[in-house]
Amino acid sequence: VTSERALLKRARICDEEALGILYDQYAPLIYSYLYRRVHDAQIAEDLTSEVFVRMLQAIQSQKLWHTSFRGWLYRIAHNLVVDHYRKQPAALALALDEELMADEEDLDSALAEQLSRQRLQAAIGLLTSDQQQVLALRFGEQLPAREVAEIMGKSVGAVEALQHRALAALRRILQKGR
Amino acid sequence: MKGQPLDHLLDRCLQDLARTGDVEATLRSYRREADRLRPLLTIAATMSNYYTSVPDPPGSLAAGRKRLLDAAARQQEQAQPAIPILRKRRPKMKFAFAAKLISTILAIVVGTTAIGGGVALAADDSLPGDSLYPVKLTIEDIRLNMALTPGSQVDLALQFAEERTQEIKRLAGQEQPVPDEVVARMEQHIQRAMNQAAWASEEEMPGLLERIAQRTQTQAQTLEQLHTRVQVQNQTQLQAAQQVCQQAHEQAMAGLASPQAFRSRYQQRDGMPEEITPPEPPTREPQNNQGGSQGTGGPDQNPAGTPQGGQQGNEEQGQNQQQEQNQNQQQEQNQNQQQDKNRARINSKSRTKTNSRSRTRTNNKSKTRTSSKNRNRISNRSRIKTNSKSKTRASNKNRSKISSRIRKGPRVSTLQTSPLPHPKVVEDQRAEIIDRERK
Repeated sequence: VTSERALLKRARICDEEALGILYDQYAPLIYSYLYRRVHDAQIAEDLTSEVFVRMLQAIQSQKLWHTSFRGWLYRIAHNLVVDHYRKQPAALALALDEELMADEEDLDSALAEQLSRQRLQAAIGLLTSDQQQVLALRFGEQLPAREVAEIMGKSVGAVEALQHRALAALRRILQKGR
Repeated sequence: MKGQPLDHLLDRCLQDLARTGDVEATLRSYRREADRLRPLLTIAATMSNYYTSVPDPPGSLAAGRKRLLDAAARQQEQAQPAIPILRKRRPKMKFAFAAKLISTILAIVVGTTAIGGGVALAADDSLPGDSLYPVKLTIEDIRLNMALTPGSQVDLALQFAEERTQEIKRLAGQEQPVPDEVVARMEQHIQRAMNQAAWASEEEMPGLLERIAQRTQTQAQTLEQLHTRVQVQNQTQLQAAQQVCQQAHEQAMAGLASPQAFRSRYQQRDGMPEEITPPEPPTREPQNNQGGSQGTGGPDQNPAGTPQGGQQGNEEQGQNQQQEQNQNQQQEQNQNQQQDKNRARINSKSRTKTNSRSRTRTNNKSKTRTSSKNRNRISNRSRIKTNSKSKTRASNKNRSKISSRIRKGPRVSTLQTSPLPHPKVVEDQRAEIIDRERK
């Protein structure tokens, strides 16, 4: 933590070495998160770059983060994802098809066989932005509910409820396509 | 586990699942709620598998690293001249303060005179070509100079740009030509707003840019809607105005995306916001230009080859040019007479609001120092009562000296049209007409 603070202090005065270390440390994490949200490697990489440029601008203007530095980067990334989908709402082009719908009886076996990436991606795309975020952070980034709550600016209870609703909604979508 | 809400229970289950990786093994510890948790855990296990596969970034994240370091280097460079900028800024701030002080005094003078308030109110609805339009523009300039904060300057500049859009809309509605100066002035307002945003603090700039982006977009949309209704003669001006708004919107959006680039581009290009001279109104110069900017702008505004230049160098050449100008003026007189009649008709309608039927008292002693732009804008019937002590009234006196035939004369009010005739030309022309009338 101490070294990270020292790095951030140096980053504030545009120390290139410190910025390089921070980038190398966190860029892969942010890229993974962004890929899980936008499902496109090139876009995820571009957005990762934008996250760090914004980070630099923000620390210049003394805009401090309230959570951990990593959590703060996730927040910036999430905001960029929201902007991205606002500009490009066609991301839901992968609509659910008949193949995706499964009967109640078949569902578990279908899941056991691992639903194809495309099917699941389309189903996730039908969730709300918050639900997608909580799933990406909890199951993609493997973050505990407490840290997810900090990143999302919600209480732990709210995150647990959101997670529950997201999984239930996903099951419903896969089950009937509602 | 009893009594725990399912949300929390599920979260604990998910933590166990992350450790064991097996749904059924996890559910053994939660037998009471197993039936409810199983479908959710099954989905969760699938999600975990789904999220594990992330392809390598196509560019190995190298481009992002370079971009970050480049941005840091640029910021370091910009941080270097911080002190010189402050030093440079101080005297200009003094000048700006002086300009604001003068404007304030002018505003008080205008405000306290008997006609000031009424005229200001009446001028609010005026359109280019109306006698009170210059008053409206002057009041706008005064208000802009009185605005102290970047935020209020941006808001006012955007407000006045929107006013130009409304003027275009109204002129088009009346099937009147839209003067180029309206578009030019709109551009100046928007430019001023952008420049103010570029010099605002880092906290303030995004908000200002958002306002600019939003309001210029609305303006562009308003102008877009006019395209189908506007007559052919106004299409060019309309397109130009729309382009101005559209470009401003795009630049503001770009500024939001990369504020530093926006700031450096505008600061390098335009200098301090106070340095921007207010745009020249279509019919007369704003009062706040009479102080500082006239001195620098004077020679430049008089292009080489005009009678003024000829008098000093070659007098004969200057006289020839004067004659040519007179001929041109006569030709333009004929062309524009019909236009002026139409305008006079419109003016007479708007005069019901402005109570401008009063005739100007003529005074033969005054010199024709005001530009002919101003004179020619005045329609025959609308004259503001003048007072020899006031500057504005003095200019009106000068206008009133010109006989009605000259008043109907060439409309050289547009900024891009022929150079201003020398006062002597006007004097000669006036004397000639008066002699003819006497005979």
